Formats: sequence, structure tokens, C-alpha cells
Amino acid sequence: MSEHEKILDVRDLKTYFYTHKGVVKAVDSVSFDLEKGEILGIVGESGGGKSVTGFSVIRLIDEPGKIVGGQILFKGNDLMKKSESYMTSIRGKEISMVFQDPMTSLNPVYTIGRQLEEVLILHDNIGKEERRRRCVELLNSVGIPNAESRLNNYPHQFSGGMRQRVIIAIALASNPDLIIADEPTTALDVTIQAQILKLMQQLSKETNTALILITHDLAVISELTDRVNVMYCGKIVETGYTQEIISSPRHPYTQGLISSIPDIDEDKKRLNTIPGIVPNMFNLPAGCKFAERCPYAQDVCWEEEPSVTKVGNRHEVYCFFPLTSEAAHE
Amino acid sequence: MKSTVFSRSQVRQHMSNIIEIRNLVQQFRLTKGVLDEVKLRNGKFTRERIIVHAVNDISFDIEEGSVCSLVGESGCGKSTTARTIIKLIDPKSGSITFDGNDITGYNREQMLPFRKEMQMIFQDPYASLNPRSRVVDIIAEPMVFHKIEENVSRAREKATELLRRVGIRPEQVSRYPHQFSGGQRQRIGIARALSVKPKFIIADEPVSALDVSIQAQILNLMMDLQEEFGFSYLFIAHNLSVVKHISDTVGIMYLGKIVEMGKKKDVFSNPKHPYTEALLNSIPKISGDNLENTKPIEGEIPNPISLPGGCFFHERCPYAMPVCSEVFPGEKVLSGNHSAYCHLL
Repeated sequence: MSEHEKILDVRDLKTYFYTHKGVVKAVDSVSFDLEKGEILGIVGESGGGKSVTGFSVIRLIDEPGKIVGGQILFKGNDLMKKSESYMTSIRGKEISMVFQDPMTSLNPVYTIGRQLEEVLILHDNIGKEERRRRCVELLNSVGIPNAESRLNNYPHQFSGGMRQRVIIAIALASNPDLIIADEPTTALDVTIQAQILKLMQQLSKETNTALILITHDLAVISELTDRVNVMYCGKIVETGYTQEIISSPRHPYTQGLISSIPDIDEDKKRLNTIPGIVPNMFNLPAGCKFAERCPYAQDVCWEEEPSVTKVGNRHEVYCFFPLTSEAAHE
Repeated sequence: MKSTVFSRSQVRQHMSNIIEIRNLVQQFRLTKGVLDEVKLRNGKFTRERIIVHAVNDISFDIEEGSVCSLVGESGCGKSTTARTIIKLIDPKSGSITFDGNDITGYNREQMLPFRKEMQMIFQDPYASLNPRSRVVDIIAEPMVFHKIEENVSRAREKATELLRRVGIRPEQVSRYPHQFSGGQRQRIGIARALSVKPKFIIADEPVSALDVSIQAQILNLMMDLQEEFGFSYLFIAHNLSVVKHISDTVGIMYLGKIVEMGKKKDVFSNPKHPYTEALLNSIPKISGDNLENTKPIEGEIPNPISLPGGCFFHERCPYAMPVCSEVFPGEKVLSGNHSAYCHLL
């Protein structure tokens, strides 16, 4: 049981933004769960609702956004029913975040040591020397050399990759149960990205910490995650084990995404494309949000929203006409 | 059509390179004037110049009608190389030959007739279009300036036609750039580059700001247009999968040096430089098994202000030998156009 302990269970989450131009349903009826030590990917293009999903889980949604419905069960407690002060007490302690931009998520006027220590002061009850020791240990664990002296450095004295390591160290400081990483390597160079991705995977497995990895890069998803949610226009269109989704996608959008990426192992004369662009979020179509770009769309797709179809072990797809593995090429 | 084929093969016999770069060096001085350079060191005043060595003695050719890519991580000098070739910045030394003309020393006026021959597509389609100009005018203006069309109304007609070719509908052409999506703006940027019928286009990270499904559309468009108009590309990118898809030849850059260059299939399937190998090992792949089976290289790119002695890559190289920290390796020609700079070879 403890092996497959559910750490997070999100049910029917709805986060809407009420702007003067209209309502944007950034996250609309999204449900997913996550086990201890599991790495879940959320993938999709800009405007798909991946980041808002991540922020909603820790209820970091600012005006004019609002979580208007759903449950966020974290270790069995519904976070939607908790007070703001309770949320403050678990943010950074039980659930922590790693953001895309390592340049802006550290405070430039405090040393790295002070910023690391802050988490320990807030969430752990340990003495000063013990804290210092723990800081050194944390920097070592994320692969920063000369940790002892580096603690006295300021963020600008670190490179981009090193800053992202510091942020990961801060995220790990209080032994969280869940880390939400929003495009953690998008701003980094490819050799540094490889270092950071391997580090995150290794730390997640070593400490049995669940990780939600939000990215637009399907290759990163494929390299790192156990399961994946594919999002389009605020909805999950397909979810399942990563390797199964990559090798036999059942939703036309997932298939389109995969085939539009140039694959370094394979020569294609032309890339397959998904025609058109993401619809305007203020004016979403009534039926399936993907219908107007979908090569297989039929009348029903324009009129009704597809419900969930189970196509395999934990593999679900929201489509009236899910692709079969053989028909995927037609 | 026939005559162009004929003339091109004729050209090929004599001189088939649209661009020839020899020993190109580009540096930027960070210190400004003498006052900034005088420093007190151990009780003595010394003069110290801080110089960023952006491009360090590179040579390569681009064959007419081909796609050449420069790849590397940030700060490797790929964009600076591009900007120097097109003479947006004057080179410190070396020579640039465009279509048989040595343009290295040309001034603004002398460059003018070449400006329409070499065009650029930029990374950020948001920043590279004039927000106060209608899209049709953005395309028509260079046509009128370079006297490709005799009057504005004729240029507008041509512009509308060209915009249609890149996928902007005629009823959209009198809109402003902010009314278009990122992918559409990049299409407009491409149309602007094509408006003066260039022979050579530099594309600096043209798809890295775009979503993957849009990226595929733009890459296909760029390939189609090249086939149709027969110009050459210099493609600057950091995404190796994109580079592999689009290029004929590839140069791998590290710290202002081309460390390996050759036909795409040689470089990607038979990488000879340890840095190329390291890059290929670092790419997340859709198959999901690349990072698992390889060890990422350690460390980061050194500072281009104080270049390491010997081979620039030796500090991070898993195969480094004593000689690597002392002598910069010479060029080793491996086969045909495939060459690399490494002591191991």
C-alpha cells in the first residue's frame, strides 16, 4: 500500500480568469492523481493551462483568476477547504515549487545561504549550527562544488545552471512530499539541461518525492516522467503512462504534437503539422476544443464535448473517435 | 526555369560558394577609454583591457543553394558570427567574401547594393516588426527602397501576393503586427526577408520562440520557399533536432570556435569532436532513452573574457590529455568536407 500511496488527487479542478474582456477557462474540469515518488508530466502548448494547473494545486492564483470548483486532495485533505494561513504553512514545506526563470526567482540582495536558511527557519525547528550544516548538505546534494564558501555568495555570482541548482536545493530543503517544477530547464543550455534533468530525476527517486514536471517539450517528458497529462485549451485530452502515450497516442492532438517534432534519430523530408492555431481562449468552440484543427473531426465533435474513454491501464483519452494503434497513420 | 538551372550549374563550375569566411575574428571591448582601463595593482598602475573574445578565427564556406547551420550553446558566438557576416558589425580581422566580392572592408554606401542580396530573419517576431506599420507596408517598403518595384501601389500588390504565399490571407494584410499570432508574425518576417529577392538569408533562431506545432509549420514553409526561390540559408540555432532536420552542412561552435564541421549526416552519425558527442548525448529524445544511457558532461562554458589555454574544451572534456591544455589543436580533415579540431584525431 505504501508503495502506491496517493499523495495528490485533483478532481474536477476549474480555474477561471475573469477579465474585462470575458471569462477565460484556463483550467476546466481537470482531474488527475499522483503517487509518492512518481514523476508526472504536464505537456501542451502555450495557453494549454499547464502552468495554471500547477499553480492551482498550491492555490497560488491571483486576481482576476479564481479556483471556482473542484477538490485538491493532498494526503487526503482537501486544500480547497483550508485557510490561507494553512496554505502558507505547507507551501515550501510539504509542497514546493521550482520556476522557469532562475534569474528572477532568487532575491538578488540576500546571499544564497540566507535564502536557503529561510526555508529551514520557517519550517523546521533546528538550531543555527544545525541549519548551516543542513545548507551545506543541500548544496552538495545538488552538485554545487565548494558548498561551504558558496553559501556566502549572492545570486549574481552564480551561472544560470548553478542558480537553478540552488532553487532545487531550496525546494528540497524541507523534505517536501511534492515538488511542482514549471519549465525548470527551458531557460538553460542543452548540456546544462541534461545535468539538471538527471539531477531532478535522481533526487525524486532517492527521496521518494513526487514531482509534477510542467513543460512544452515532449522529449523532456519522454526522458523523465512516469506518466503524462496532455493538455489542450484548459483540458486534459489524454493521460497515461508516458512510454505508452509516446508510442501509441490515441488523441489526434497528441499524435499531432509528437509527429511535428523533428526527431534527431529519423530523417523526415517534411514535418507533419497540426493545421491552424490554438483557438481564442475567450471564445472557445462549443464541442471538442480541438475539432477545428482535427483531421478526423465529424459533426458530433463540433456539437458535444467528448467524455472520457478508457483505452488501457490508466490510459484515458477524451475523444469521440480515439485512434487505434493501426489507424494512427491514416 | 531552364535558364536558371543552366546558369547555376555554370556558376558551380567556377565558384559555387555564396559565402566564404576566412579567419574571422570578432571581439568586443568592455572597458571604455583609458580611464576605465587603468587599475591599481600591487601599488602600481597598470592598464587592463577587458575584451570579450566572441568569435575566434573561424573559416567556412556556404555553398550556393544550400542550408548551413551553426549550432552551439548560448555565448558560443553563433549569433555574433551571423551579424558579422552580414556586416551589422565590422569584423576585427579576417575576410568575408559574398558571391565573389570581398565585402570585408566595404563601408555603408558600398554595402547598400548587397543589403538586398543578404537578408535576415530574427528570433523574436514580436520585436522585429514595426508596431505602427501595416503589414502590407512592412513588406512593400524594402521593395520600394531597393527599387525592385517602381511605385508604392505596385509594391503593395506584390507584397500582398508574397504574404499570401507565406500564408497570410489578403484580407489580413492591412492589419498591424499586434493583431497576429507569434507564428503568423514569423511568417511576416519571412515575407519581408523575401521581398527583395535575396540570394542569401540568415535565420537567427527563427523558430525557438514558437510552439512545436507552429514551429513545424514555419520550418516546412522555410524549406518550401528555399526550394522555390533557390536562395541559401545560414541557420543559427541551439536545437539540434531542428538543425538536423533543416541543414545540409552543420558547424558546431564552442566558445567562438567551430570545433567540428561537415555534411549533416557525417556530423550527426559520426561525430568526431568530444563536444559534438557531448551535445548529442545531452539532447532529450522523444524515444526517452538518451539521457538514461549517457552521462552528461560536467561544468559550464568558460568565460569568453579569459579564454582557456590550449583547446578551449579541455576543462570539460572527458578525454583530455596533457597536450590539450597547452596547444590548440589544428584542423583534421576526416573525409570530404568533414573536419574537426581535436588532438585525439
